[in-house]
Amino acid sequence: MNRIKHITFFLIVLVALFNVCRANSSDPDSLRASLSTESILLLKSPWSVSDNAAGLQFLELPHRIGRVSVFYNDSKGDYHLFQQGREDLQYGFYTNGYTHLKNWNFYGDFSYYSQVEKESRWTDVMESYNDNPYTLGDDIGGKYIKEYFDMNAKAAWHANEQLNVGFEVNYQTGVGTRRKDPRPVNKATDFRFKPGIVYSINKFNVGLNLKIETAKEDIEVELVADSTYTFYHFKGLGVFTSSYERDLRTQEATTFGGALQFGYNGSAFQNMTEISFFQKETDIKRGVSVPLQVVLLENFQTDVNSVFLFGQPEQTVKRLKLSFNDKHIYGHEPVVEPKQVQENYQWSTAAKYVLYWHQENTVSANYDYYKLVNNNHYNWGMTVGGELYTSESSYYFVPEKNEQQLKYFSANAAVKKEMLTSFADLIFEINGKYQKGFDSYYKLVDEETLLKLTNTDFVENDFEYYNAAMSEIGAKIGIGKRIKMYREWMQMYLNANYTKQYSKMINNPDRTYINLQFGINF
Amino acid sequence: MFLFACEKYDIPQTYDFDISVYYPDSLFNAAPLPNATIEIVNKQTGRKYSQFSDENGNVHFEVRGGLYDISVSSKQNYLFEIDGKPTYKDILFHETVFDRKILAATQLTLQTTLTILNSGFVISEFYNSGSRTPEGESYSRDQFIEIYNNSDITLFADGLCFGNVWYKNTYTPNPLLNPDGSFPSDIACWSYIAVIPGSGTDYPIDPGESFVIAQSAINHRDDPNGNPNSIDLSGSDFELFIEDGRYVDNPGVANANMIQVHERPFANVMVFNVHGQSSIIFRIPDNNFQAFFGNAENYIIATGSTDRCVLVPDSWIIDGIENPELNPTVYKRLPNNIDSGYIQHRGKGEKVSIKRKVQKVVDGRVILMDTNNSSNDFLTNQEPTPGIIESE
Repeated sequence: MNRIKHITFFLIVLVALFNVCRANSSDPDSLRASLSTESILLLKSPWSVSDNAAGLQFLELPHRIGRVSVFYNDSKGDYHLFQQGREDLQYGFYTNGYTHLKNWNFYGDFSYYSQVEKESRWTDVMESYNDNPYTLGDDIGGKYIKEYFDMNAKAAWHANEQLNVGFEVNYQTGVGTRRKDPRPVNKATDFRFKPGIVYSINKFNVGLNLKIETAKEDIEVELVADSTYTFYHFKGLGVFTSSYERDLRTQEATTFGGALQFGYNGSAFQNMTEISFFQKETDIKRGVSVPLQVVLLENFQTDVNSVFLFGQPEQTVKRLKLSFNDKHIYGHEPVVEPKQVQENYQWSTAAKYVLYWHQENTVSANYDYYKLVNNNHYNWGMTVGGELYTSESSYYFVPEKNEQQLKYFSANAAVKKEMLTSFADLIFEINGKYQKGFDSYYKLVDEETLLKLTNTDFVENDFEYYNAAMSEIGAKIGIGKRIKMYREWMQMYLNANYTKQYSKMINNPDRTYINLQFGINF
Repeated sequence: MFLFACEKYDIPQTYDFDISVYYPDSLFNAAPLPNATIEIVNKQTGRKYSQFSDENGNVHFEVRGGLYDISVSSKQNYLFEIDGKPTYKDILFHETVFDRKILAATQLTLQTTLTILNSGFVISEFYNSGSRTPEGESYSRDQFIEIYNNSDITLFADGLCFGNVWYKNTYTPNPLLNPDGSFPSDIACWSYIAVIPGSGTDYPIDPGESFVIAQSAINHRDDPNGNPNSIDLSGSDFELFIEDGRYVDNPGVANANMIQVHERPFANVMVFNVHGQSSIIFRIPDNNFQAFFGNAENYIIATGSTDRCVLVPDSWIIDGIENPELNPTVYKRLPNNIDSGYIQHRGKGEKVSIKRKVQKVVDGRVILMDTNNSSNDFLTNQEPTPGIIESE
């Protein structure tokens, strides 16, 4: 019922938005958006990568741009992380839109999709790999079915020549379960709010935005048959404790942060540099009446992004993006379990150690070159990029520890060609990527009792996933056909993407990605 | 706010943990106890550290902060005079501490208590979880206890009593403790007490032999009302048959004498908690059953319930097993002098038993582990094998 309510509500909003935009349209016979319109719009402004919603004012929005689509994504193969399924199938609905109304620029998107992870094991949580190694899993696994609603809205107000103010709101909710014992039942919600301002003086801009986010996931495990299963409470680097209990598990995360932006808009080049920082605390507890803390996970993250646009991007886009990311994650675990005291039935306090340590840095550079036809089409384009990743992780048994150092680099490239024919608008792309680790190792404890608390397959698989050489090659094709609906020219389109990954991990696993998207640009 | 994050915490360190152990007050003026095995176990990681105490009764560990279970044991052989004959008996000096917090350098002093080891009957296998039918229903009539002669002489099972300790929920405090938190000197058993029949020499058990007491001594796999997933108990030595009770009598298997403990109409079977059951075996002096079971002063109504229990003096108890239900929080039902540890199994319907470990094999005779601590002495979640004593 909830799904039907959400979809009904959304369709009403969509139709209303569409009619409002149509009423404000000054040229009803022109093509509003094509296959490339949104990507060109984002390429032409360095502010498109900014966290600051007020930066939406720096996108050139001459009119509305909208897209509504249904999609099908499938990835399948043995090249996957330990807690990922062998096959991951998604299908759903996606729409987004930009519009300009007086002094306001708006952006919104909405998606609903269903996700089926087949042959999924060792995970009973919605997202296994989101910088939180404290997950729950079982060794039975099966077909994990999830549904997500994701809504995002941005608004930016051009107060005057100097000041732009904006905000962004994002809400995501998801549910998940398996249809075979043991059955995790997940309910996840995530709400994010980011207010921001940008102040401009001549060619210079200074921006500031804040970020507040709350997220929660409840995990229950249900059984139809009255059997007992082993549940693994993972803690990072394969370390786990196991139990037969099916306590309610809750994960509540709170994030506070912000970002500073510096912009320059000259004739030779434009630049937007953003430094952002956030601190996230995730509190994981077990039990209902008197919940016991599993861990308090702290995540400190700093990102620096700098985007350069060389020359005037009217006919040619020459765009360089440099990024740096720094993360520190700490897992504070009780080493003295809270315990009910016999005399007074109260729970004694717990002492904690920081047992999980993780630090990582990522440096990347991407260069885009596009020859444009106009704001809706390009002639051809290419992207080249590279990334260097380093991380160190430790899980302390005290004084022994499991430790891992992981370093890898990747290089990627893509070439795109758009052709405008009398029949249709066509886009072809071929792309590739190569990734390989270097100077990486992991070392597990020798002590037998402690080693039994480590899932060595978990550590080895996820280490090799990144460390072993991986080659990726892909091709995309997009077909767009102009149609007229309600006196409006629109574009019906189909995007198809095929990617294959080949890994040099043990047994040389591979993975195939197929993405199909069918919709209307309006 | 925008500074790069840096390491703001210290890497967790170990702490010095020193333990000194002593004889009981009644022996050697409570002198230091040398050469005792001192084992500490971290409750979260399961990591064990084991050392022998030095001549001053001291040991030193370096451990991470956390909760620890600590056990001390030292078995020594002393000469006694029994029935006018000099007899060597093993005395176990032992002490156990649960959930000791170590959050800084710690010095712990432990005075041991002594137990004269019976070198006789011990519980070798205990199966109370029950199994599941192919339809997934719980099936508990296949429970059994196996008792083993761990000595080097023939013992007689005649008159041996077996009782289940009144449990309530073992994750809540034991309501039968003394006001100061200590255990009373009597153990409360409920439901029925099973007494092995015989005049005193009818049921000899040779060294290294065992006997099985079954809830219902049938082949549960083949029985029309049985469970193909269960086990064969038709070879049991005794069964817990109750007149007009729930289970049929197997005339080929001797029935234990069932002493009803409860007053009101209740379960017409001897009740074992399938989630976990603490149990004892004991002998009544001079086999004076009528005097003991016929005396109303030996019964109580358990605190907070209407359950009638019989109080068994702990000095009569030969062996006991503390088997609380599966929960991180455990409140013991047996004092340390009967079982200084505890052992849990997976739970209801799991078809798992608890088996005593083999300490050694001497001239083909298996000697089972008996340190008065079921945490050390038993293996849990084992395949039930009634009547079979494994040698490894």
